[in-house]
Amino acid sequence: MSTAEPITDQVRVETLYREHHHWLQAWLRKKLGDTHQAADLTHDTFVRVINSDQINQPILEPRAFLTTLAQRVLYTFWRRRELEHAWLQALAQQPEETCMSAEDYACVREAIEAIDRLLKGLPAKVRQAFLLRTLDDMTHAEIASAMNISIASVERYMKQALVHCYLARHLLDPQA
Amino acid sequence: MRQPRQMATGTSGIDATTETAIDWIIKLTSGHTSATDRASFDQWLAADTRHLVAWQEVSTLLKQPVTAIQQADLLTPGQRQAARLALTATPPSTTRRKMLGSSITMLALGIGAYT
Repeated sequence: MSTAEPITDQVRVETLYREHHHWLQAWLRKKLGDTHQAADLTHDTFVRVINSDQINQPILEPRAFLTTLAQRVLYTFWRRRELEHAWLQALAQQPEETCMSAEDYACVREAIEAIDRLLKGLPAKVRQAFLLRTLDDMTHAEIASAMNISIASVERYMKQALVHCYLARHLLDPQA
Repeated sequence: MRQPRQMATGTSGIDATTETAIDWIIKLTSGHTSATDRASFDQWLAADTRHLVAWQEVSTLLKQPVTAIQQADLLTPGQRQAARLALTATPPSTTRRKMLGSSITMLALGIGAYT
């Protein structure tokens, strides 16, 4: 890692910000229909700009570059909302009323998001079988029975899920 | 040394040791593990430090988030099921705008406001 680089990177980030952040915020506002959220996600997008491996070279198409990063930010935002919504709906259907501290709430919500990131891209049946095993501690025979599939299929799904998680982990966090 | 049956699933991208570790974890968490399986696993694990490293990595892939949910489940039963439903009910491809309404659901449920 060179010590002279960050200054150049910083100048690039500042230029991008100065010339395009109003445009980006307007673009996000159109997608979100909310000014405050657009401002937040503009900020998140620029955090990704700073961490981008492309910022150490000239950005030829700045708006295309920003749009690509902003789309990822949007995806994370929508997905977080969607998971939280589904989670709260499931909790609301529990016989007993759920009472959680804000801290526990955040902890579980983040845990669900972390699992979702690793499972992203897996077929629904594979996800389901794998979660019955991992979260609910069901045996392969119980999963086979619950999902009306063979034990061999359960084993195949487990393998697919674990290989997927392993690869996802290395893609998301190459240092791990 | 006996190893768990390798399941062919087109597992390109991972090394053979990692794949064996994955096959072991599937075997050992199947709910149908014999004493012989367990002994074979111990033998495999002890045979090479690379086996141990691969095992530790594979067996802790989801440990942190899963533990968090299971602990929450002890405090407020139903968390595991709710988490599983959330993770299976909505595959990522269907992410939609309408979920913006979820903050209203939160208020309606009176669950600790977290923003």
